Amino acid sequence: MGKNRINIGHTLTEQTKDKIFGYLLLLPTFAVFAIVVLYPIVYGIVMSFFNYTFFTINKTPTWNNFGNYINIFNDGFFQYLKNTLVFTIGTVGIELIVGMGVALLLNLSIRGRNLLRSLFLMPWTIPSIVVALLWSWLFQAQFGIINYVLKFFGLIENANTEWIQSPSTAMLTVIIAVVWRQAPYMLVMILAGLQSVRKDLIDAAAIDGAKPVKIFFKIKIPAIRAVLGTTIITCVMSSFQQFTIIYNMTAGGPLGKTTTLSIAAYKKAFTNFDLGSGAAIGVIWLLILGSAITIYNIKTKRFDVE
Amino acid sequence: MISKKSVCKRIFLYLTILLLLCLFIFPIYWMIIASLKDNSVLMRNPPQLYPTFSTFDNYMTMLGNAKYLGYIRNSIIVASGTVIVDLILSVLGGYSLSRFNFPGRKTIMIAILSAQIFPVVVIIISLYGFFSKMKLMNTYTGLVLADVAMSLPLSVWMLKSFCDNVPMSLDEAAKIDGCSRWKTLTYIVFPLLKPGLLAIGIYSFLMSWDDYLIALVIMNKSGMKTLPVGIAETFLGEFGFDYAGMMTISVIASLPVLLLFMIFQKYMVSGLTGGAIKE
Repeated sequence: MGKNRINIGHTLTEQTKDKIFGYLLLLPTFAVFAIVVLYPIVYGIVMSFFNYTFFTINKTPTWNNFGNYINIFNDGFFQYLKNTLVFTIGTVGIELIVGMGVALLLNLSIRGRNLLRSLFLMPWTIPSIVVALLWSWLFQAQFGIINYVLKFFGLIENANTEWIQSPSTAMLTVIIAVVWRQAPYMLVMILAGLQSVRKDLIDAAAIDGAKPVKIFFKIKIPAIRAVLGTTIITCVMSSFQQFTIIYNMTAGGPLGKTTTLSIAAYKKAFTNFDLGSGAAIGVIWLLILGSAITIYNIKTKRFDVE
Repeated sequence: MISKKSVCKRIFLYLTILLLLCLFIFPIYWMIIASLKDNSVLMRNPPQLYPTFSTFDNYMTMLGNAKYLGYIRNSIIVASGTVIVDLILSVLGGYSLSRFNFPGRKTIMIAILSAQIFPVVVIIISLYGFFSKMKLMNTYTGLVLADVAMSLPLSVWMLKSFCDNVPMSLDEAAKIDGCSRWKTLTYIVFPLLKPGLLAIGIYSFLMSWDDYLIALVIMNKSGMKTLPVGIAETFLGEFGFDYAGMMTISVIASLPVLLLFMIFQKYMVSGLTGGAIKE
């Protein structure tokens, strides 16, 4: 990529002009980020230390001595954190297994690979709100097809088993719905990675008598490690951010069993009108996710973009 | 000669793939056939597994209702606005990051990508107050601005990798011929980016069309609500048991994105994977 860089300007002024032009082109992007991402995040972090509610929104906020943080820790924060981790590990784990499995199948020498890939990717385009309604209908207790099929094969006793409203299975239902939408993304990324693995390496290993399992772990996985890492991080971040599907399937219930940090922060801010406490949840989430990803990036040197 | 064993193996392989595909596609099939049935049929046990094409009443009801048409109109306006702004900004930004070496370039690239870590909930908590003061609540401008910020990180990265694939020699030749930097971008490089622009355009359309959380907070006046918010409000409230209606509006909401995707899937896939796969 280094060779792509412009280096025509032989005089200093030309190079300086290039730099200025480069900055100018980035200016609109920077402006949008500053207004919609940077400023709100900084403001949110500051407000997490202040009394900041719907009713005081136009008054000068007052410092409240970590009151928001004390409030959220007394109000089930660790339960919500646990839910978020279960949800994230559950969704990303299953997405990885499903995505990798189907990608390996499609990577074999088959006809119509591109068509199949597109068909598999279809659920990823379905709007999240539709995913929530659709899976609520599939899991519906009296008329849902899932209960019908499970009963048909004798897998459940009660033909009207409640899945979404039951505290023990609610989390599973939202995980399945999210996996259905997100696994195709994982699949397409892994498949693209697998197709970029050099054929001659695999052939050489096969000639030397390496078994497919060994080729998978010793050649394919190391070759696609970068793609895999990026894709997994993207999926982890999207699971942390997931709001639409959970909120519209369970609204965080029953008994708070599916209340992730995202749902908890929203409810604090817009149902309890306590914007400061909602921001405080977000700040701790940012600290956890931010440090985890930074450690990962330092370990794998992913920050070396060139 | 192909042995019998390998033929069996191949048949087994295709059957496995087909079965998996059916599992993935089944919910979409189920949604579409439910939209063509009456609620009385949907609440039958055992369920009717095959499609019937006898009733389009659900669609007539939905599309005859000014409320839903309003939601659809708002969603189309916001998504189109997002696509246009996102395309302009990502072309400028992506080209800049691909071609010019200036101090802080790497940091900017990482910062753009890191934006995805920030909790959207915190962003909207602050935006709520900020947009209220700026009179941007319940405006298309406000929601487009927020939606653009959400899709821009990946758009800029995608466009940068598309630009990297345009030979540098073109820029150099243009420069020697006396073409200004701006003209090089607009007349020489821009036309070659068409496949990339398609991918990014569809991606940002999908993102904006899908957005629920931001629209929920910013568009709270009934005339300004977008489709996802309107759907959620209607079918998780008073029409919670109108499954036929629910599936019909679901099909209507999915159709534009499914069609866009099917027509342009080639560009979409290359856009998604292009940034992550490096030679």
